[in-house]
Amino acid sequence: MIEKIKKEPPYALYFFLLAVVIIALSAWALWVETVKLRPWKAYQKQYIELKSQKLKSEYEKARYEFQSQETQKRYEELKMQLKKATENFQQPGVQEKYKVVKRELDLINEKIKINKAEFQKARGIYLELEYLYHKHQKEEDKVKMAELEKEVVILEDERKELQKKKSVISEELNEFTAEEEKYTAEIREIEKRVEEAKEKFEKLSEVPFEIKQIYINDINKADRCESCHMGINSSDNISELHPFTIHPGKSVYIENHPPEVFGCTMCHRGQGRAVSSADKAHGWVEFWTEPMLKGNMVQATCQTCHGDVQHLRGADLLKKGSSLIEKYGCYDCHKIAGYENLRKTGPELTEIGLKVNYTYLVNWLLDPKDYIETARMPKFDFSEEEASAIADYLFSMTIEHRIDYSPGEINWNLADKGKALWGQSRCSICHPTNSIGGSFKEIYAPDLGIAGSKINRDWLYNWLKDPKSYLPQTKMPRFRFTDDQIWALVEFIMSEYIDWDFNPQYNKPVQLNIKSIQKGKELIQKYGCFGCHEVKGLEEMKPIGPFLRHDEVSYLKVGEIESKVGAEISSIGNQPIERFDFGVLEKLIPNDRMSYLQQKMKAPRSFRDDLIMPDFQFNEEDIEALTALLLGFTDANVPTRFKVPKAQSSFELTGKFAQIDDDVKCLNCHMINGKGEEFAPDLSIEGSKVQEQWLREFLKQPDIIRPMLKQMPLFNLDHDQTMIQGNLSYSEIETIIQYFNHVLVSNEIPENIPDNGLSFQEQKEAGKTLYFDKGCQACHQIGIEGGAVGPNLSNVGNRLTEGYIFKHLENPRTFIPDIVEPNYGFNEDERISLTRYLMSLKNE
Amino acid sequence: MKNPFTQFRKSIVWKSIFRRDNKDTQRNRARAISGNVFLHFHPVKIRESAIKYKFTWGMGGITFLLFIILFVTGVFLMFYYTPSADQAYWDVKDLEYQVPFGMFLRNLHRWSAHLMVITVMIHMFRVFMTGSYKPPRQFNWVIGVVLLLLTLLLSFTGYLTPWDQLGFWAITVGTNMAAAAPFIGFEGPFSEQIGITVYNDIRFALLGGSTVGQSALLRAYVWHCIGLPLIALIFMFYHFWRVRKDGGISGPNINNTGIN
Amino acid sequence: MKSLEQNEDNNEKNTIKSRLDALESRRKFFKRLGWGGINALLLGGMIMSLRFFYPRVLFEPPKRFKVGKPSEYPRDMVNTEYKEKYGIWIIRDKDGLFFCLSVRCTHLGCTPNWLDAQKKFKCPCHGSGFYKDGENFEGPAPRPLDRFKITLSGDGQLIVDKSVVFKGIAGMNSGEIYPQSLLKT
Repeated sequence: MIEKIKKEPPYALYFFLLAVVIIALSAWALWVETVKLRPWKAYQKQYIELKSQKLKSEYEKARYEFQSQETQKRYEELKMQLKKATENFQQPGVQEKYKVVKRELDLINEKIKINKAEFQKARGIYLELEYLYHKHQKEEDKVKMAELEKEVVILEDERKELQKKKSVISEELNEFTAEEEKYTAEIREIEKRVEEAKEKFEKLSEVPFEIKQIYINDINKADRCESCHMGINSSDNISELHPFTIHPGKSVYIENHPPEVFGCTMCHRGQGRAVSSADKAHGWVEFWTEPMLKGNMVQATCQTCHGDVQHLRGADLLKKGSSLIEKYGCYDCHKIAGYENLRKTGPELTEIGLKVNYTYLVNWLLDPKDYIETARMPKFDFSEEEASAIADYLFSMTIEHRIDYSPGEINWNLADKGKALWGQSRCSICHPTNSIGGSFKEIYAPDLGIAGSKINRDWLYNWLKDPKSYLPQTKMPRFRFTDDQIWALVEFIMSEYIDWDFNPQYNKPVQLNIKSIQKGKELIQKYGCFGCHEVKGLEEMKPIGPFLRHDEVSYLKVGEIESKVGAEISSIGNQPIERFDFGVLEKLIPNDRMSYLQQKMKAPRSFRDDLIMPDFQFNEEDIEALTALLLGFTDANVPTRFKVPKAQSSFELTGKFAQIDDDVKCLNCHMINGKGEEFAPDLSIEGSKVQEQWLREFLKQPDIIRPMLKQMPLFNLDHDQTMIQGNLSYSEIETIIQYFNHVLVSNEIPENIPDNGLSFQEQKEAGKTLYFDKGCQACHQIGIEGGAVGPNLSNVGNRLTEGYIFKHLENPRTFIPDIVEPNYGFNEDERISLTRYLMSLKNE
Repeated sequence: MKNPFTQFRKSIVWKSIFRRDNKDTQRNRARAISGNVFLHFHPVKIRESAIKYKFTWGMGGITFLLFIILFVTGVFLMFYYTPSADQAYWDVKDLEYQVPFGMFLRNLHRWSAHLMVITVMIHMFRVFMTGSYKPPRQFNWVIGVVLLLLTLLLSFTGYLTPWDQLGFWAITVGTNMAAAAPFIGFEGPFSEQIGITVYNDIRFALLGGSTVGQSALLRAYVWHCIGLPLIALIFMFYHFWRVRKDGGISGPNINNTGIN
Repeated sequence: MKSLEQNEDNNEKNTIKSRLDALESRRKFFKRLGWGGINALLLGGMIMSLRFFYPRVLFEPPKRFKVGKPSEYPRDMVNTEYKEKYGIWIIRDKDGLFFCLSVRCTHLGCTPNWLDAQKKFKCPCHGSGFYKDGENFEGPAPRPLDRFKITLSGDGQLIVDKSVVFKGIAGMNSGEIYPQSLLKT
């Protein structure tokens, strides 16, 4: 039966082939393990080569210096002296004496050693007895313990005695060899330079090839970037080549964030653990959610820890992006943590029918930037029909719209008077006209270049009379104009600032179409106009944009949480790429977060047809800044020890001064204890800083301290009895001074400066010399001499208190952290003299 | 000039270890098999027809070999793996990035696991096509099915151990399927009537909680590394033993009797 | 003729024999190659397995680290801040000299505690005691505590280098025999 079974063919060939395959695979595995997955080995080799070149040249330089005539001469000299000293020491007489002392020292050392051993033995027995006594409470142990204690004390005393002797003898011994040692040390000093350079160079070959890692325990972060970027944290640059160069901007970035504490990826992102390829390490691979940020974009991650990006050194992009968000009011449609409870960017539209004419409104809606270059409102790409529908709806809200928009006859006399007022009141500090003026950009006052063709005459009168009655949260101060003055200003604006191409189709009230009104309302709801503008009837609507950053989920209402947990909760900077809808551009632009954000800001509706985000017409730099800011909006959860939260100012103005501020808006330009803007000087310590009399005069008639367009406006130009010729009333000025003197003071500023014994005149002269020696006149002006970088000091003696000047000279950054003025490090005498000199500068 | 290895084979030490001398006789050859602890599941003699690759495809043997490879590489991987939600993913990544031969061992483990499922399937296919499940081997087929199940469970639990998105959602889906089992799963039929909830059903037992989290990872790990391999080993040995007891590896039907 | 025949026969025999020999040696060669291959694979596997147990990266604190500015350390004080993290004590003596002690007891490697009231390091395991300069004076410890190198870095911070060890020697004062273990600032 067995014969019937056919013998199987031999498998030798198959086995052989399989053996070949297995050997090939093993070799491949070995290659992958040692070469392919370890690219850092090659980089380290290259780096060490570069470094050895540098160290070699340093070594050669040291050797060259050593062999220079000068060094050699000194070297030979020292050698000679050493020889002489050795000969002296070797003389039989000296040697004998030396040996005697040496023997003495050895003897004492031996004694000390024995003493120590005895002492330790006694201590040991004592400790044992102590333990036994605690256990058994035998009295005999206690007796023995007392004996031992005595012995220990004796031994200790003995040793102290021996130590004292030892130090005396050691000194004696040292005297013998002192000269020899001195010369040896000097010779060593010369030789050392060469030897150290040589050692450094030679030791380099012993540097092991290894993965270099920074491990941060509590957040389990392991960054191995330095395995290739070997020179990144070194003090001098070995090579400009990547990846060996040193970190740029070391003083800001590395010194404030030591890598051993912060690692690398906390700022740069990327995959810190990966060392198997450069792309993997930088996170430029699929599914790595935090790719490394290139170039300036790395600023994005500053926001992980820093709450205040406006005042952050080395984060200019964020500074810019953050101001852009506030300028364009991104937070009106998108929820962004850190930008909550801010006022709406656009004006209230409820009464718009009273304010502007219909044709203007339609034109504006079609393309705001085309109309006024500085417009902040984005372009919605409305059709003419849609724009009129919205205008119809807005006009329909106004109860009374029988308004005359005809320009009427211009009273040129009145207009001229208005023109003078316009200039004197310094309106152009805030309001640009046809893009000219408006030096205080952050206040975003409307461009009035064509206001005459836009605004209703009566509305303008009412507005100037009391801005708050139309818009309670406005930034516009209430100037204390008389009715005549207001009419003059109105006349001036209506006659001067006119769009000559503007051709209103009607000047009479419009007939509104009910259907069109309905459509307008729908459009407003669709495009979320109520995000930036108050619109009557739509107050309860929620902003329509997706939110960009969240701090915690607590602001969501009950019920909302369930629907938002997971996907929608993450901030834009770490939202998974799958959740970005690239639409029709999926194959046209790179599918990453940065490209998406840039495209969204460049052309918001290019992804799909039905998108609603309007076009803000950002330029390239704006887009870069905003992208950096948005990429940094993450839910990164770093330990609190890293966090630098924004300083929260709990300061509130109080009393009558608060009422004055409410009226004339001091905090539009000034800052007080962290509240307000930085356009004008900080007033937090104004009470201690300036003299009362000067303040009084200044408030009556704001003087020129600063260049044009940065002066304080005049709030009133009345000749009335109750109002002085200036701006605020007497009583108001006294209120302000009272407030400054009581609230805005600093304990650090002394009332009087110390006396240094010199006479007043001597101090003054010394101060004057110092002023010119240190080159103060390069920036400051006295009379008509000097530079214009710093404030004019011609009248400083009347303006500032001596305590303030004295304290300010100690360290200018105490009160003004960003000041240009350097810290000269004056001593007290110098400060007294300078203060005396400056206090003597008074305008007659 | 004698080969020291040959010398060693003739020595008393060799005999004391292997319990036989080194003479090349039929008896010694048989004893090499019967006296070997690892080969003693193997019959001392088998029919030549039963070891034809054409007939058996060698799939049962290859499956066992893969199991051994998985066992060994698995033990190695355990040296660098921590079954904690914070650490597991990074440990697996580090196998690639820094552990010497870590990537090699991990890939060996992973590919062997995939291959094992395939070879088990082919093995069953062969057994089915050659009719080797028929009496008297019918119960060994049942054991084989249990072993298939254990192989799949090993794969499933091993899938979670890297603690990545793939594994996480696979376990979420897989355990939710268990939740749909009648009586023991909280979403299954009749379970509501007998008071089964999320907190006392089979899914809870698998996950150690109501969601996939740290305890689920630890459970998967323990099942994967200790529980399931132990059970699989017991069943495997029983499987091999039954192969012998049920008449050895089945062969081609030579006599046309229907039984071989 | 006969001899010729025989010769031919011999020749034939020789050729067969040489062929057989060749076959035999070839067989031997392949056998050696096969076994050699298997052994090489096993050996390689063993080396690989051994190498596997020595990872390229350690998740331990570094050997060289900064410990702050000298001005942060008052004189005549033992700093225990880095005991847990790095396993060192930093001590500044009466004269303002710095040195750095290892926290490993020289008896059996437990970690002693600094008892400020008694001015000594006391090991909890077997009661060894050390003075502030690391010298052993009671208990079973055979020699003073080891010291590590402490230097100043470029930015004015203290740097401890644990790879440079000054081993304590019985009966000797470490400060005297290792003047380089002291740092003067």
